[in-house]
Amino acid sequence: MTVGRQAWKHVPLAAAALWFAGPLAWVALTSLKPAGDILAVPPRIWFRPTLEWYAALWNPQAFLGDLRGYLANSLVIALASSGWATAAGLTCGFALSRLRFPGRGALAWGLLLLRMLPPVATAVPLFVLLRAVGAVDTHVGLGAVYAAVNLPFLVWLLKGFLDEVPRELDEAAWIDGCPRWLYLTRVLLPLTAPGIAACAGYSFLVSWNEFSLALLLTARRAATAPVYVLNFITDQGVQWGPLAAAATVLTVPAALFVVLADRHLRRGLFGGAFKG
Amino acid sequence: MSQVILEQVGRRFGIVQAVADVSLEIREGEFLTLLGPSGCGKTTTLRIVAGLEEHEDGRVYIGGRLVSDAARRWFLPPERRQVGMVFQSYAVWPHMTVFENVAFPLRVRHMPESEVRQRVVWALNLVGLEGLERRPATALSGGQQQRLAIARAIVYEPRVLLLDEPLSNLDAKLREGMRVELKSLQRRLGITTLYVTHDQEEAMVLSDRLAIMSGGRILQVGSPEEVYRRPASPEVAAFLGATTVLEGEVRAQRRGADGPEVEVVGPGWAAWCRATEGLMPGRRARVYVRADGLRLLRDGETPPAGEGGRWWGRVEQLQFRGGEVSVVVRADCGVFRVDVPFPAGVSEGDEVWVVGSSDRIYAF
Repeated sequence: MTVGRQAWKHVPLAAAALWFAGPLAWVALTSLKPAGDILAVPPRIWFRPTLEWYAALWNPQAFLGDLRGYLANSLVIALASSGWATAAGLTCGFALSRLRFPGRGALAWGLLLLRMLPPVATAVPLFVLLRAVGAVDTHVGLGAVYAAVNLPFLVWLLKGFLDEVPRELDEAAWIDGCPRWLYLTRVLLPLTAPGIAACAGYSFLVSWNEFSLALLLTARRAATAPVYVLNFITDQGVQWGPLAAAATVLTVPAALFVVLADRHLRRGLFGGAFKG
Repeated sequence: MSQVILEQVGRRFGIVQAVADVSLEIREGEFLTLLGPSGCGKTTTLRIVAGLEEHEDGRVYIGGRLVSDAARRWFLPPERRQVGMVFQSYAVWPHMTVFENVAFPLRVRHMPESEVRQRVVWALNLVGLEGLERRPATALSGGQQQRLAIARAIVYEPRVLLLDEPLSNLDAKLREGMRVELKSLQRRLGITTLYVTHDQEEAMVLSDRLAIMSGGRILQVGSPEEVYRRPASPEVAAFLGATTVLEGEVRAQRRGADGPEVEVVGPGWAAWCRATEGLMPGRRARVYVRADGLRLLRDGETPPAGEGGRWWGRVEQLQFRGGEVSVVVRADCGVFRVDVPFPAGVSEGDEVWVVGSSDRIYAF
């Protein structure tokens, strides 16, 4: 009886999983289908898998250059932006969590409001700004924009992790004569390391997946992999095979991250008791 | 030179006066306990001495040196006050080993590594944690973490040791043992110690002197015996375990062996009690009776010498407490608790005299 009840609980979960994972599986399958099978109606579940689309992505002779250059751009920009955003978020989060200063609450909520801004509203001003400093289509330019976009959320996330460290530890360090920056690096940092890593990973992913700002703010030199994928939608039709293959390649880091950081990310997002 | 002096120290939180006009001297090498119910301002007072809390009134001196002066808004930061502190939650660094925890205060003070090693070994030996240097701090039991916190607090040989309810997270048996150790450790080091607790027994066992606090004020300061035997106010008497309070009128006054005594008369009873100087005949008075100052007597038995007063009542309950029994007796004027050795010699429903000796009953 109990087993039956438990099983019923899994029905909505299975439906949700199908809903979210279905399209991903579809794309992954499409990337392995030979040209003739991709658009077949009804869709073919059984087909002879091929790696030709993946091979095409790696072909330096291709008109757009191969995927590797774009992947490298994506990697550099996502890593840099995630590093910057995490470092800045950590110091801001520390200030909001530990220091008492006027306007502290307003500042924290102001940050959240920033996050509510529709991205489109900022896209054009950002372009004008980057052009003014000559940073359009540069790694630094797009990386800085990503860091700025991620920062408000990261500040809140990191503030949450830091809030979980008991205040008595601060005071003990204070009495021990530990300067503040040393306390941050020697005590708070190691204690919140898993959370910080999860934040950095999250911010990396957001940058890795971002498409519209990259499309607007880069052209060729600093264009990222999602922008490259767009090229398979041509005026002669959509090249489904390479598009699906590129999309699958792009999904891999995201999937890896979620599997690895799942527990820490949930703790940061939804709070939880501090465990020493 | 490591006495601590507080002069008219006050601290407000919004509209709450957490600490009010506290003046106190903790003598060199003395173990002084701030004792009081939760919210009485004892922890805030301790934190003011530590420098973790800024106060609005008064001054604090440590070892003859002014460390904070509210009038000038001048506060010496905690790390320059040469105090060691043990927190209720121990506050050990969970990501470090036992050795690293104790070495931390020395290392941030840039002590040479050879001396660090020597000092850490010394401190760990003192608290009985030798051999556990490489353990992660979180792999220690509650009692061991407590010792670790103490070792970390004394390792840089501070002038003053501050302890904020350090034993309250331990189970009863462990607490008992730690009391003994803490006391002998403090004696051996001869370190001036300020201790905060709400546990009356703990305070009595550990302290050279007690300061009883309530509502942010110090009600009485004295040795445990003084405070227990001669409570200066009804609050102190009530906090130190007076279980029965009676109302009456003062009829007579005399000088007892150990200070003034008054005779208080209530409906159907009269009793000689210890009193404060100002209690004149004709005044209303409250009489505080403590369970350990009472005896039970059957009708016709001879009363013991020094009887102050007696009440006729019926035994309502027997509460077995191990070595002794608490007998609850209901009299016309109120309910008494009488602690007597086991076996009590009475049973529920018996009618008895509750007899109090005059030096254990207090009138205010």
